[in-house]
Amino acid sequence: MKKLLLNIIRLAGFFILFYISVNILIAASTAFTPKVEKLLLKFSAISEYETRRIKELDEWMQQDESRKTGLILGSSTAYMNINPQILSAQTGIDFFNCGSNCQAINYSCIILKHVLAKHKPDYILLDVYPGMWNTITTEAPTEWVVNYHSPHHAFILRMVSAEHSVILWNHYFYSMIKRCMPFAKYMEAETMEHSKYIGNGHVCFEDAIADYKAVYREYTSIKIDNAIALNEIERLCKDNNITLIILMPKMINTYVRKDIIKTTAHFIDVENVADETYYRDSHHMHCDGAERFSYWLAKRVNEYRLQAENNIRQE
Amino acid sequence: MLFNSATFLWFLPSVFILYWLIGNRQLRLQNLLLLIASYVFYGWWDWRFLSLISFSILADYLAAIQIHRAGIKLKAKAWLILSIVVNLGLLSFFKYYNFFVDSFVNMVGQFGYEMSPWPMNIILPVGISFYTFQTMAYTIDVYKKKITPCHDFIAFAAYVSFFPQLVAGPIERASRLLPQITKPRRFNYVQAVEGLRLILWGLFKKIVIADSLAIAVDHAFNYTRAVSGASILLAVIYFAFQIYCDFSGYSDIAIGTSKLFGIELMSNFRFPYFSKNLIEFWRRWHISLSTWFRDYVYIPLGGSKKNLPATVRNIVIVFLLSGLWHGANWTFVAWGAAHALLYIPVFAWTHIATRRQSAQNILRKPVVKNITDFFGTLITFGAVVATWLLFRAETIGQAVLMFKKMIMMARPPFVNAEYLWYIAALLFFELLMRGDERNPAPFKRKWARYLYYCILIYIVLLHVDKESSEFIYFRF
Repeated sequence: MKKLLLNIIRLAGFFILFYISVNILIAASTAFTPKVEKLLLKFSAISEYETRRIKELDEWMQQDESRKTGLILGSSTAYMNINPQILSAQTGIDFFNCGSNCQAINYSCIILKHVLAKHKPDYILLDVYPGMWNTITTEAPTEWVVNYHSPHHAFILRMVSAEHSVILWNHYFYSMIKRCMPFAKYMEAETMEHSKYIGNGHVCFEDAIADYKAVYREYTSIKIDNAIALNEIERLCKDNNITLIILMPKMINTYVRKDIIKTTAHFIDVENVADETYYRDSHHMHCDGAERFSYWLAKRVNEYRLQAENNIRQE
Repeated sequence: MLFNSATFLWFLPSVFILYWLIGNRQLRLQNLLLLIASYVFYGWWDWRFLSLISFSILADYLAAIQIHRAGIKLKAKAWLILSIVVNLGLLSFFKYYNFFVDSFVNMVGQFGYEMSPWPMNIILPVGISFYTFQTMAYTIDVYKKKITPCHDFIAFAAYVSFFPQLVAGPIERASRLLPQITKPRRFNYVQAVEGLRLILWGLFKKIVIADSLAIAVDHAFNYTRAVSGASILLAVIYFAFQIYCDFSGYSDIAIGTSKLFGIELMSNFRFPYFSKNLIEFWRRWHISLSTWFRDYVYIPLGGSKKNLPATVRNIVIVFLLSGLWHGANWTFVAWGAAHALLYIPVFAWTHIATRRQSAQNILRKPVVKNITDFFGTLITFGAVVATWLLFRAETIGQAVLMFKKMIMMARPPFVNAEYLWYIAALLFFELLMRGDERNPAPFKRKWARYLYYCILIYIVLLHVDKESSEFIYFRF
C-alpha cells in the first residue's frame, strides 16, 4: 500500500513537471505558429475582437471620472444587438458594451464587481438572455481567461472558480504560464465572416443569414447561482447608487416566462419592438437592426435618465 | 454515479482506503464494505431502485438454497422456474412493457382494429439487464449443480451488487466471481497498479475518443436529411468506434476498479475490430454477454450438435434475443437479425471448410498477419459498421433513409472529417498494446511508462467536460 501511494505521489510530481513543460512548449510554439495551440487547447471562445474589447474596457474605465457612464452587461445578444455609440450620442451617457458570449448572470455579476473596483458607472444595462437564466457555460470565463492579458489574477480566478470545469482550469494555468513568457504571441482574434467591430465593445454582422432555422424554445426556470447573482447585482447597484435597467431581448419563436425574474429594477421588454427584419439569425441582429434597435432603446433609457435626474433634484 | 464524474473521483479512493485499512484480512468486513459502497454507488443515481435490486438479491439467494435443498428434481425445477419468472418478470415490466403494448396495439391496428394504448411512465432502472442476467445465471448454475449455493447473504449480495460491474457488466458468472468474494483478499501491489492503469486507459477511451466522436455522430443522426451521404458514412464509422470506446472504456474501468479491491473480472473486449470474420468478432465483442447467450440459450437449445437447420434456428434465436436485450426497439431486433444473417454464411463456411476451431485457438492467433487476414478484417469491419447503423438509428425508417443516402450519395463533402484523428490515435495506442487487452502500457522502462501515463492524463484533462456524459450501455 505504501509503495503504491509513494508511486502515485511520484507520478503526480512527474506529471506536474510534464504539464508545465508541455504548456511552456505550446506557449513557445505561438512565436512561430498559432496552429499547435489551436489544435491542442481548442479554446472555445476566441471570439471576434475579444482582446480588443477587453483592452478598450480598461481604457474606458480610466477616462474622466466626472462623466456619466453606462455599462452594458449580458450575453451575445447584448454585445451584438446594442450599439453603445448610438446610446451615448442619444443619451449623453458614455456607454460601453461589456457583453460576451454566453455570459450568464453570475458572470455579469463578477464583471460588474471587477469594473466597480476601478470605476463606478451611473447606469447598468443588463441584457438577460433567457437561455442564460438556467445555464452557466465555460464560454464567458474562457474568453476572459484567454484574452485578458493584464495580470489581474484575482478577478480571473473568481471567474474560473465560479465554474467547476477542468478545461477552464487547464486554460487558466496555460494562460498563466503563457503570460510569463515574453516571446509568446497572443492569438489574433479571429474575425467571423461579415462581422465588424463598431467600437465601445459592440460587434455586429453586416447581413442576415438567408436560411437560418428558428427553433422554438421555452425558458421557464432560473438557475439558483444566477438568481443569487441577480440579487447581488441589484444590491451592488443600490449600494453604489447605480440605475439598473434589465433588458429582455426578444427572440423569434421563443417563449419566455418573464415572471421568473423577480426584481425591483427597471425593466425594458423588447417583445414587440424588433421584428424579423432586425435579425441576422434567431438571436442576433445585424448592424442595421442593431442601429434601429439602439435608437429605440436610447429613448427608453432617456426616460429612466430623466426619471433618475428628477429624483435627484427632488432629494 | 458515473465512472467519469467528479463524485467517483472522491468515492473510489475513499472506499479503497477504507477497504484496505479497516477491512484488511477480515472477510466479512470487506464484503460489508463492498456491499455498502455498491449501494451508495447505485443509490446515487436513484435510491428508490435499491429496493428492486435488494428484492432480486433476496429472491435468488433463497431460490438457489431451495434448489440445492430440494430432494426431487421437479421441486428444484419449480424453484428455478420461479426464480427465472421473477427475474424476467422484473426485466419485462421495467424494460419492455411499453414496447410490447405499443407493438401489440400497432399489430392489432394492421388488422383494422383500433385500440387505445395504455402506456405507463416507467423509468428503466440502470443496470437491470446486467444484474438480472447475472443472478439468473447463478440459479441456473446451482440447478445444474455446477456450483453450490452461497449461504453467506452479505457475500451473495456483494456479488450481485458489486459496484464496478453492477450497471454495465461484465456479466460475471458466479463460478468465477463468488469464490473470489468468499475468500479474504490481500492487497497486491502489482494488481493495484494494473487496475489503475486500466482505469486510466478506460477514461481515455471514454472521455477522449467516445465523447469526442459522439459530437459528430449526434450531428449526423439528428440532422439526417441535411447531411450528405459521405458524412453519414463517416458518422457510422465514428459510431462504431464511439460505442466500442464507450463500452470497452467502461469495462476497462470496471476491471481496473475491481483489481483495486483484489478481485479479477473477465475481459469483455479483445480488439474486436481486428477480427477476421464475424465469428471471431463475437468472440471478441461483449464477451460476457455473448458467452452468456452461448451457455444459457444456445447450448440448451442444442447448439450446433444437431443438423444445420436446427443450428441456424438456434443462431437466429440467440441473435434476436441479443438484439432485444439491448433495448426495447425494433431497431435492436433488426440489428440482431442482420447479425444473424451475416453470421450464418460465415458459420456454415467455417464449419464446412475449416472444421470447428475453439474460441481459445482463434483468440490466441496474432491479430492481422497477412494480406488475407487484412482483407478479412476489412470486410468484417465493413459488415459490423453497416449493422451499427440499425443499432444507432431511432427508427427503422431513419436507418433505411441513412443507408440509402450512404450508398447513393457517398461523395464529398465529408463533414467532421477531422475526427478521424481520434480513430488514428486509438489504433496507435491499441497497436502499442500488442494483443494484450489488459496491459495498456507495455513499456519495460519506468520513465517510458511514466511518460505514457502523463500523456494520457494530459489528453484526458484537455477533454474533460463539465457535465460527465453517460455511458451508452447504461440505457440497456
